[in-house]
Amino acid sequence: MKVSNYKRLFTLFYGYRYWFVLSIVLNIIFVAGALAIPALSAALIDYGILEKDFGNVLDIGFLMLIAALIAGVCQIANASIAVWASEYCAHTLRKQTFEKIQTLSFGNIDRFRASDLLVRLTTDILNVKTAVMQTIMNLMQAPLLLIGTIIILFYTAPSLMWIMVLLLIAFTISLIVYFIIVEPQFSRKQEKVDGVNKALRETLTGIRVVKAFVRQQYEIDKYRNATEELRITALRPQHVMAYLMPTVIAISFLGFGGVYYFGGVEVLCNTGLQIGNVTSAAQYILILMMPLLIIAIVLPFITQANSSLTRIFEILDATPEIRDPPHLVPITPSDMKGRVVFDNVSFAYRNEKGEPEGEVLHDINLIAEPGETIGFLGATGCGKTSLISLIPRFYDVTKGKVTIDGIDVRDMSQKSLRSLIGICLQEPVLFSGTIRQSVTFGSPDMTDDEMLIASEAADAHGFVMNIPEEYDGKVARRGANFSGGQRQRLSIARALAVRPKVLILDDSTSACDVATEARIQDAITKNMKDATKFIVAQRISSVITADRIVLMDQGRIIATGTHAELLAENSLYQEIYESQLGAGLHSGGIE
Amino acid sequence: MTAKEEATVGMKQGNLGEMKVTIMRLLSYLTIYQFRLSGAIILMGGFACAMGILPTLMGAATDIIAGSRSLEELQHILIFFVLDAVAVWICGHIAQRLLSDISQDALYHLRNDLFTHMQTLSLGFFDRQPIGELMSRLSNDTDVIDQFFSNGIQQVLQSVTTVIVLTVIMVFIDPFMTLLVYLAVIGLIWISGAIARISGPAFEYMQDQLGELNGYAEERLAGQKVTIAYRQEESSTIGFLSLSEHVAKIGGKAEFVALTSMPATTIIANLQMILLLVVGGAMVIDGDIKLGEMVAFLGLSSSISSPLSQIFSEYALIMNAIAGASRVFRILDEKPVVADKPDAKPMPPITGDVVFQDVDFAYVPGRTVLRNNSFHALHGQVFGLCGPTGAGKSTIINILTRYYDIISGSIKVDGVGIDTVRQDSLRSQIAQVLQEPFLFSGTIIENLRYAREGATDDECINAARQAGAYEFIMAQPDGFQTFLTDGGANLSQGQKQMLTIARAMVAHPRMLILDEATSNVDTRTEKLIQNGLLHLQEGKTSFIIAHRLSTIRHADCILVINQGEIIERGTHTELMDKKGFYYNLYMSQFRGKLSGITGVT
Repeated sequence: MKVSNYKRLFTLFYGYRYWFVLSIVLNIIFVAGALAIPALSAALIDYGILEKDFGNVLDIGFLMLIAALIAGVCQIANASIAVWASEYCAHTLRKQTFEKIQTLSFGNIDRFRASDLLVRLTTDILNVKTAVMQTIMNLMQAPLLLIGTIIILFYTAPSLMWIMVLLLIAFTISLIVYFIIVEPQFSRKQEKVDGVNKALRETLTGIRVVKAFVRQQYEIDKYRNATEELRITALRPQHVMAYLMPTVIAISFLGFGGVYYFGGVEVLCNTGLQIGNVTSAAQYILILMMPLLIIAIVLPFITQANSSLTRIFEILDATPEIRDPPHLVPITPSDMKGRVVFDNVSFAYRNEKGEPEGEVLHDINLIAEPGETIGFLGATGCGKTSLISLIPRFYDVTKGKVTIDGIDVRDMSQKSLRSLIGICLQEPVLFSGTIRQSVTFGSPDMTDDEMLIASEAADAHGFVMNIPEEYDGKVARRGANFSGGQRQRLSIARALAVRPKVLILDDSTSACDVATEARIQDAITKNMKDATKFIVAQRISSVITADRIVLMDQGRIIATGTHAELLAENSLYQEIYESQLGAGLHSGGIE
Repeated sequence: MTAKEEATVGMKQGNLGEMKVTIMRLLSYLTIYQFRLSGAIILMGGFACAMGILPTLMGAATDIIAGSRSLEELQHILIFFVLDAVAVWICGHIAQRLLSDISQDALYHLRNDLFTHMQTLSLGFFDRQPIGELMSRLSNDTDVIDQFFSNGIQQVLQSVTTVIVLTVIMVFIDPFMTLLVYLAVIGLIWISGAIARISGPAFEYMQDQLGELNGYAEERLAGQKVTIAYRQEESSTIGFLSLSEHVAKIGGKAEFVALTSMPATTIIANLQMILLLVVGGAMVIDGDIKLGEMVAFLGLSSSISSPLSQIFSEYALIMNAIAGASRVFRILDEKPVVADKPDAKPMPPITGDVVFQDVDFAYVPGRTVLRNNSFHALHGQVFGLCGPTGAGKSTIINILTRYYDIISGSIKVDGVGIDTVRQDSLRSQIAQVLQEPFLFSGTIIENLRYAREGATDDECINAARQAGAYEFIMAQPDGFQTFLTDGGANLSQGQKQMLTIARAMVAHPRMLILDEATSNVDTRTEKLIQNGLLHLQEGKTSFIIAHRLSTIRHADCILVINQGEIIERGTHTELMDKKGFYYNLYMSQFRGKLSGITGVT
């Protein structure tokens, strides 16, 4: 366990450290009160009942009442500190983590993976919160209870101490057995549960395939094996517990017997021990078990939180891959033309240490004039998406430079650079909210007219108007209430709406049919006359109208030209053309 | 609404009878182990007795010390203490062991019943909800039942028997003091009830808001790249922080109320003890009871409160388990919609003569998606299906393989109505290559063999060769033994598709269905796949759903489907000549630059 994690966690509370002092004080008072009660009950028996003095009974009873109330009030007060501290801690960690994530670059996000970031932001922070609460509320009591019990017994029944020590040893051994044997078995059970659920998920997802090949019985047998394994694994910790729990109970029984017998013998021999001391010693046996019980319950939270903290700090310590340079070249967006130049660019994605690994683009030279439409075509993994990602500086080149109107993109601030660019990423992600918010995402204060022009150009206006609430219609999480094609069209509208100088569409019409795609492209050509347009596509029909088509293969540009030029000169292009559109022109397409 | 809320609402809407049925049905998974279960219950009783005897032994010891002062009697008591310890160990151990065995067996059977039953259900069932949702429900439901069986049952049994035994012993010693104990117990129940009533909804609200926060975070993190691209980092943060703050605030309230329950119950327990000491003290002074009896009472009263509060804390768990069980049973009671006729015979080997006669079909009654479809495919013919998205192309395939039953008309293969034969025997002769290639976790060869149990390694390897998958398979670290995690996450889309084609070949199908398998791959891979498909099609009646028309240009017959109807049919040339729907669909691929292109070629 890394102590430094907790030290660092504690720095969050630096301004509030007096609250911790207060919490410790409250815990001490609580423990003192809780421990006083058995001692007082002993006094009540000895000086009240046995002396047959009812006045004493009442007096001591009253003292007990006060002790109980003080203990209770202190514990409740401490609970409020625990709750405050844990919620404060959770919120602060969430804030710091989320803010940190907002500074990260594409490269960082690729390496962390979004799903993993989410786990750290949610589950891990929740784990830390629980641990903080448990520590303040319960764990801090444990040593106090233990010490207090030993002190009291030392003064009231020193001759019974040895029984307590033996019990303490026995309980501690049980606790260790629990942590060494049972706990790991429980987590192994959880693994098996995950396995069973995974088997279920897989079959359900592939239910069509299962039915198509008539393999239901095979799946049933597979699942049966998984559940059988789970059954056996789940039984192991339970069987150990079936030994452990009765053993702990039986040991405590022996402890009670020991206290009454040896205590009783002393009372009979008049060594000074009184009956009340014996009965209260028996109550202290129960109190003695408390700290160990607390540890058994709380320790797993603490260890879990520790690994969670490691993961959270990993994010907080990450360095954004892309940072603004110290000396920015200021730009005025409205004066920019959008002439994009790739000057001998090579590129490789970076690994965890920030070192480039495996070049994916080699010596790219390309000039895109303002207003020009450039199509990119090539096999999956040939580097098209990597190439266009360099324009908004999602990643940094490893060699050469990318410039816009002659300014290296690394010399501009990321904000002003990206304000020039409208980009449609391969996956058309929409955020929940209204359609209006989705389209105006890039500049929320645009006018309705601007929004309408954009969504009309993206061929989204039609289906939006079919929704009763029109542009105030809801977008569900991740745009789940729209089809793939609709999502693509909305995300194109979003890109057009910012009136960019450079427009990038990365395979953005793949889910639209050819006619829709054609309408969108015509509208873009008309509406975005001055913008430099980059269109990445799988289908030849998506780039057929481009001013120039860039054919890529394995990270290199192998040919550039219009459709007609390429079709005449380039064999790879002919091959692609042949397979996608076929010899349709000869076999009756054109007459 | 969360599943939990739904459950509580469902429960509240009354129908105690239904709840009782669910409980009985859930318990029936345990009660079939009559012998072991009754043994466990008896031993639990023994365990509770041993727990109850302990305080009376303490009382007896006290009386000896305070009264008779006989060392010999004290020694006897010590022996009883030891015997009691032995009894508590034996009863506790065996009961716990029996119960855990029974409950794990029960869980095992419940899980398998559920799974086996789901395998018999028709596709319509799985369409009703997204698989992900069904899945998380199921694992959630079985988890709560698991918790109930693994811990709940034992806790409840132990608590109930302890309370009964302790109460009997207390009444036996002194009814009046028992009344006092129960007074405190009622206070305890009232307090924890009050706290639960406040904290329960508070927690639910917190969970709800936490879900909101997590949903927001999930969405934003998944779309972080878009946020970066549009420079919206700040607005994203603002949204998150306000949610987070809100969660912290209401979370604090819920947690605080819950945390007060422990101090509150401790105070009540202490009050009870003080009451017993004072009242009992007075009675002892008056000689109504013996000191030992009062000591015994103190012990008994403190050990009765914890099982009682245990029962209450298990209440939520039990309710959850019942809600989960009722959903599970609902699935178990689901009847397969497409069922074999009782006299259904196996489908004889298919030659591939397919007739659709006036077929109407609806997924949901009243909303017909296919109308009046008729066609006749001869042995060995290739049929292409095309049309706009949602026209009903995939639906035709779904009813041909009898994933769904049609409303009217008939579908005959080789003259045999497909609703008269066993579904399995029909489907096992038709191979399907779907748009989304689906592979199972396992080795490549296992995935290929999935198509036909008992296919030899050679057959699988040959199929891979024909499908054009051999080269890339051999390039994998372990060749055919390479393990595909998460359904082949380590393969490209095209590679996965080639594997599903090879898999279809292993099946030795007599008929083929291809749901345009190449729309997501690049041109070169597509070529490889096309070659594989041609091999697969040889001599078999095939149906090809085309998204890209070039794939079906050579089909023997193309069916153009629009809004559930076949609106045009014929060969590519015939349809082009007709200059109708198909012609427009086809020409739209070339729009614009057409003249320029012809100029070059």
